[in-house]
Amino acid sequence: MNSESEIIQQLQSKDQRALSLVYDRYSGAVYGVILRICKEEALAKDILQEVFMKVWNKSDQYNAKKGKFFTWIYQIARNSTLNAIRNRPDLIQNEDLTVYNNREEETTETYPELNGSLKSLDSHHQEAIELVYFKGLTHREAHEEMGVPLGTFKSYVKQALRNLREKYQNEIIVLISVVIELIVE
Amino acid sequence: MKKNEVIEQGLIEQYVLGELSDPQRGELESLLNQDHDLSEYLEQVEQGLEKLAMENAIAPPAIVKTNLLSEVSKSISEEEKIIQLPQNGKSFNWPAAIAASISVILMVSTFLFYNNWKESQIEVLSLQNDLNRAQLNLLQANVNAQKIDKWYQAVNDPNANKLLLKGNQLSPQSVAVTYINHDEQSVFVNAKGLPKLADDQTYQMWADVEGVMVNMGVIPSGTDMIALKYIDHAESVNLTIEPEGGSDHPTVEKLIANIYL
Repeated sequence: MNSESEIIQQLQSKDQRALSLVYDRYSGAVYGVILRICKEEALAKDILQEVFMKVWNKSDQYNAKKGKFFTWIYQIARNSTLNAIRNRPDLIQNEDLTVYNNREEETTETYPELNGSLKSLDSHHQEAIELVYFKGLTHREAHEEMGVPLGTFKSYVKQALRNLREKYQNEIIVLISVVIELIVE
Repeated sequence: MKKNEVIEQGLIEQYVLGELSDPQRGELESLLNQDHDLSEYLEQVEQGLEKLAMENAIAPPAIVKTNLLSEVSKSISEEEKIIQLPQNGKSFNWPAAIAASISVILMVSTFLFYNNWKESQIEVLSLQNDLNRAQLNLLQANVNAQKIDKWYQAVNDPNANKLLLKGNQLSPQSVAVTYINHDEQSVFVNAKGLPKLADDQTYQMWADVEGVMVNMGVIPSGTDMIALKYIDHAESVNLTIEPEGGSDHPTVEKLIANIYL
């Protein structure tokens, strides 16, 4: 299997196979974010395609020194989705520019609940991460949504990520010890 | 922007989420370049969030990938059309440049191959020489071994008569050990005990048959062991010193040893 940096290089030299690999690797994660922000499947599909078109066209702008490849794609996805929501015709008709409140009220459809390690966090940590990461709110918007001071909200996010990190590290340690046991046996 | 400020204000998290303004982002990026702890912290935040996204992935409909790849192919073929537009005479001639590059590569690689090939050939020749020499040595060793074996057999044959030809007053220190086997009709001489002669002289052995000296063969000076002609009805064997190459008739004045059978 190719390493990620090799795939990125191939992508930057306009190799379609690299795009296909990148899509296979990340489209699910990206689609999960897009769909949770916009809550509309037809729109989410269009946005997903648009995001990977941007990944294809702007791959030379990605700089590994500034962050991970997925972070770069995530940011494209988040911005594209927020723009798409802002430009949605029904919002203009309503003359209601408070995007999120409006969206929450409109949508009744439920999307897959968040799961994985996030579920193991305290509920206020879960909510903080959900707001900024899976709903695309800024810290400023999210602290108002949660009704806590901005500083408190920031520390929620930080603590949540720290707790997740510790859980991952424990998982890795467990995994390694299982592997070692298998080898020893 | 200071390091502890960056961490306390949650700027790294906001950077990963894409919330920072352009100036803030630029400032943070230059700080990240200098500070290893910060860039490590960034990586941890990124890893955590990436894992969260992976855990909450939703498989998109397959049609999205199909559409994406066909759109990409379309954009590529359009780009190619643009590239293929006719160009005027002064523009860069890509086919010629590629052809020239290929021929340069071919020339260089041919030269390298030729050099390599030549070196290999020289090496092969020298190996061949070594091999020939080794084969010759082996052959020689085989011949020697056979000769030694033959001598060993002759000397140890119970039918071989061992005769000591001791030098007379002309050459009192000479001893030639002669093995005569009448059954096998063979004669071997161990000439180790004969003093070295001048270069133009040689030892020669004769058989006396009814008063006639018959040549049995020349024993070059310095020989260890040599086979000579067996002569029927010999009454005695005689050793003389002769001019190099041997004589037809013995030089009686130079008879140094004889023995009756």
